[in-house]
Amino acid sequence: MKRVLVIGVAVSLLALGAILVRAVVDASDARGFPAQAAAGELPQAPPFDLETLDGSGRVSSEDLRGSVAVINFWASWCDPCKDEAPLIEDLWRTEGEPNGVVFLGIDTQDLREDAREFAETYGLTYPLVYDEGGAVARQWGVGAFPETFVLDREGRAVAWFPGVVTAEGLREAIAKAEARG
Amino acid sequence: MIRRLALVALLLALVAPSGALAAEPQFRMSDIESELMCPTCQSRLDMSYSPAADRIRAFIEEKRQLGWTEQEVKDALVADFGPAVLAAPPAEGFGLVAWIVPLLAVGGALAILVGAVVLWRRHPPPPRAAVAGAPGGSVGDPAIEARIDAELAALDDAER
Repeated sequence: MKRVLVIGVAVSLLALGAILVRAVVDASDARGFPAQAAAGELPQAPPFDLETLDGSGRVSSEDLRGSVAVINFWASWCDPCKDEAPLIEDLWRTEGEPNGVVFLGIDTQDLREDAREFAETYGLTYPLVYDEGGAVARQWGVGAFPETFVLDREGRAVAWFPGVVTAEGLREAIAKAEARG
Repeated sequence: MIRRLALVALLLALVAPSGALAAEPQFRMSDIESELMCPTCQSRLDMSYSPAADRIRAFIEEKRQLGWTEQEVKDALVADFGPAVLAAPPAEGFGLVAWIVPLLAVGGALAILVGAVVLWRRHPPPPRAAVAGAPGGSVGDPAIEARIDAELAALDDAER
């Protein structure tokens, strides 16, 4: 009787401990990546493998290796994203695509049908993927929308832009990433 | 002609209510809102006023008016936002822990309670009257009792 009691209490405490540890680890990891990027520590971007928004294929972090990449997190309900979308599309067309810089929009915490409508409304032609359940946004520590990261050819973050990017800021970050070889 | 018109009217009368029934809301907004989470604010949907929460509410209302069931709406939201959109975690995978731990805690508490009762019944505490010095009780030693009686009698005499 006493043994069963002790085992029951021990199992309960272990399970509770596991939940708390997981919550703490998740919380501490969450904002670590952007903070490291902002501090110039060149953190490795968390890996991902996501379906394209139109469902035609998948894009993974491995596909970006060897190219400078601009990763933009957005959602259709986010008002600042509406201001930013034309700017990113313009930079992609005029400077990204011609120079081999990858632009990738990650739609997250959003209704898929809304996101498709958004892409159509703003005429987005750069690759868009859908972060179902928002797991990738959490891993990348995205806390607000929009947020943009610029990665070098090895997938390390050279810049982080919380909020709407400026063309000048993005150009500088791309140049910095390209300069890293 | 009149017969044909009457037939059309009769058909319309029969079809109209069933069509209306198909789109009749199957649940109340207040029911489902308390069972969902706002994915960006980490609070219950009925307590959230972020743009994402507003959009989810609009989506639910849209589907509700189309006659979707509460479960169909939840399934659609889980498909896009993941299981975290549900206020209560699903009873599977890691979410199962959230269901098991409280049950284990309640079970553990009950086991402790039952254990304490069993121990108490096996080894009951001594009767209160047998405790030395307890008011109205006996100290157990006749010599001490005799001495107490004598001293009390002496005290009474002194008062007189």
